[in-house]
Amino acid sequence: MAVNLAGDRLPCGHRVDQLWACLGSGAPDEHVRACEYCQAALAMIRPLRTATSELAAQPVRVPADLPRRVMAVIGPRIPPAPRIAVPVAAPDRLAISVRAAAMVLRAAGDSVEGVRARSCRLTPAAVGPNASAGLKLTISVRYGLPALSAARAVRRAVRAAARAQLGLTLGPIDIEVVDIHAA
Amino acid sequence: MLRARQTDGAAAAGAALYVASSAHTEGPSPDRERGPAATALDDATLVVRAREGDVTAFETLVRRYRVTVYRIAARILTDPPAAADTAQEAFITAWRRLHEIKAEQAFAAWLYRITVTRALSAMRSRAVRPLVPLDEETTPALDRAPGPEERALADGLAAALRRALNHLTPEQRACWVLREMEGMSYEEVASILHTTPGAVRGRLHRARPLLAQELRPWR
Ligand SMILES: [Zn+2]
Repeated sequence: MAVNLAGDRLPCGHRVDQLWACLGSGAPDEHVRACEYCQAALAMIRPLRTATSELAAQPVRVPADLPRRVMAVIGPRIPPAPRIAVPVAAPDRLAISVRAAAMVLRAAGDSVEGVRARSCRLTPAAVGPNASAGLKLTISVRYGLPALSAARAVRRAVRAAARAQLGLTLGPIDIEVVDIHAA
Repeated sequence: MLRARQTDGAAAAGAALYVASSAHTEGPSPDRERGPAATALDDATLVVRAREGDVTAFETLVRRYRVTVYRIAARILTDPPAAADTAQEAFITAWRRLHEIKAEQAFAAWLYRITVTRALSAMRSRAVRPLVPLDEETTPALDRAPGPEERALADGLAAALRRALNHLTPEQRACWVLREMEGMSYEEVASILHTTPGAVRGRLHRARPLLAQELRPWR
């Protein structure tokens, strides 16, 4: 017997979606076991369920060069970042891009146990002896870690990295804890 | 949600530090790269960094999601070179539009939406229409020539389904791939396809008899 799978309900009142879901999971209930319409519908959709599982289980071979292809397009399109002057003895000059500096400062933030540095916004006015604008840093802190002491440790680490690795003296460092992550 | 900050200058005054959090848990991602725990940064962190021009952070996201993105594209398009192009374009589009993400934690769903949109437009532009043109609302014709069935029996059930999927409209096909093969919920599929869970159920309901019909030889 063939039943119309396209209808809303089978003649017995059961819906095909219910039978489909039942093929995926549990045992059929008493009605389904005894009902000729349900049995006919099941016989029609069972191969589809099997085929879908088989097809879904087939491995897909991802081209190995996909990340390289993506990055090759993106890399050259990145606009240049503003530069910060690093104080050095005249007449030499040294400048560092805020983007490169941010990577160093985020890494310093990450070095603090349980902390992940997120946004790192460094403005040229944030460095130097008369620094006034703040370095703005957002972080995620591991669940259970006291945020206040984490922020203090981040500030210390960032300041030290700025001095040691970039030769920069930072002004105020503004830290915002924007997330908590699981251990 | 609490939201406050501690400023260095004000720290001496005992500024309180609050935490702004959606108490989010990291979304499980199917192909997270194995590696030292310290380098397994959550999506939200990587998205924020990438948005500020950190290319390395974005590359980590590409490596994390390349399998799922490619697989979704490949299952919708059934054409490996086209799927590779679609996956590449999806990541490049994501990079360009990173600033549009509202919830950084929802990066995966957002990326899949871009992927499916691109796959569907690739499908439409190369005009791979259903072999038997069928309106979404119509019911399937019951009779077909026995030729395809004999061929189908010879090379297996999964292969027959792969061919049968070509009989669906692009939207039905995307629903089938996301719901039945990727195992997403109706809500997730609806959000990726910019539609409602009810519409997703409807498309699957109409797709089922068409596909079942193609697999008739295995009953
Ligand atoms: Zn019944």
